[in-house]
Amino acid sequence: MEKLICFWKGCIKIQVRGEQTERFLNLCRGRKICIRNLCCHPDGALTGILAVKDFFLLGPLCRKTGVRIHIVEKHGLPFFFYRSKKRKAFFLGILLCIGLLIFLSGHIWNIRIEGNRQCSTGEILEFLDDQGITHGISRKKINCSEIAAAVREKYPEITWVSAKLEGTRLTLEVQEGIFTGDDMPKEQTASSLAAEKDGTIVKMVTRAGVPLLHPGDTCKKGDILVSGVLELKNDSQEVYQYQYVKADADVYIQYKLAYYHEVPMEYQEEVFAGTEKKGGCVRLGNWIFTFGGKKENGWQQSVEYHPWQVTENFFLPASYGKIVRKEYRKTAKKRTEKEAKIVSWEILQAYEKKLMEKGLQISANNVKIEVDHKTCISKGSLEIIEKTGREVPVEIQEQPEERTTEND
Amino acid sequence: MKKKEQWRENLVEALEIPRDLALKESVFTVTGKSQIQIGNYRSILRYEPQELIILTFSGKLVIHGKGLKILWYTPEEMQIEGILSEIILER
Repeated sequence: MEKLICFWKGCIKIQVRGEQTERFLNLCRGRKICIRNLCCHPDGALTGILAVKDFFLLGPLCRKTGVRIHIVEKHGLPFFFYRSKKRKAFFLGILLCIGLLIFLSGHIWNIRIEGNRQCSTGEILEFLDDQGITHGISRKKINCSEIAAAVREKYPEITWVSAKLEGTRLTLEVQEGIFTGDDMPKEQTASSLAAEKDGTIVKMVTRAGVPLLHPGDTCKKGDILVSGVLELKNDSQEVYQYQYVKADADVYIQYKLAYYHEVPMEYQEEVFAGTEKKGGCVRLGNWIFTFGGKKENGWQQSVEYHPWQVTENFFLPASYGKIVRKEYRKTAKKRTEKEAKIVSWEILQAYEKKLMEKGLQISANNVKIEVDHKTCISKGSLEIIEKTGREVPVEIQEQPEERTTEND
Repeated sequence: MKKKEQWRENLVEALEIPRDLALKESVFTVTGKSQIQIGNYRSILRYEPQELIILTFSGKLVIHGKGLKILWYTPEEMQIEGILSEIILER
């Protein structure tokens, strides 16, 4: 800290010579002149460091004690500026730097989104971009409450948004609803549930509405599974009123999904020769500049791009990349029957995994893998159990006439 | 005079006030063999690379050593650095 003050205000290293140096030091002490790093030399001279403003108070003390003072060194900013007074470009640079700093600090260079799980950061950033909130926007143009309201309006699953400006950073703290979509208040319009695919119903749990089909029944695409029309009957089992509800049920149907895949027995394998070349590239917008050779036939090229980013979410439209080229030769190979079956099986497994990721259940696998001379064919069907039920509007029926004793 | 001083000392002891504050007694803090900090001194009597004589309120303090350097000094305190070999208190 002391060194920093010394650098900022400037300090001088002096040499004091004379008969009454001790008296000089005591007088300095009396006038609260602070001399640091005081060192006595064998020839009797003293050297020490003191502030510039204190140096100008030494005149009367020198006359009183008869000592002579020589400036040995000058340090600090005031002397640096004095020495550099002829360097106009230097001062211009400082002014430019200050101007740039003021300009840059008046804009937003970092947009941070915290607390989001369902809505991705990229998605929210894209929305903000559409609203005109981009990296580099002036701080004055930002209205935090407006941003928060817009985000809340766009994403109903976000229950709470707080936008705040901290320096050149705009932080959006969001909190997503802890309740599930089922609990959310929805517009209660009467509807029925219709089948989305042909199949056989295997399970049905009805929460609202009247089930028209039951487990074991077959349904076709578009068939009403659960009706949203409730028929209220009297003691004579006559409908005296129709009520309409929003049908709600978990209906699972089973159907067959055809599967066919061919794996050729003869194929060409790429074998790397071991030769490798490395290069680089720079991408500026749509322009790509590569160096280190061009793409050739017989060489596999892979490029790894690293975008230049200023802050965590602020990417410049430029990136640099590393290019790796590997030489390869194509060789014709033939699978054995066992290998072909393994490959086909792996492809089938990957397909099943993909289906299960979509939420489908596979109840049976009727795929057969057969091998002939040229190909390995996987053929058959998969028994799929899938949740179905598409909301369709109910047909509003005429309410039956109220029965009176006169009707009887 | 002596009685007055005695009375003051008794008062300081009774009130448990530090003696350096109440009686202006000097404080010497020696750190290893290379540093000494002196509080409550009066003036510098002699300053040479091998010898430093400081006048305190209760007498002289003579410091012998090599390359004695006053790192900083204020009206109340000073810090000395160098190879210290001898510290003598003279009445």
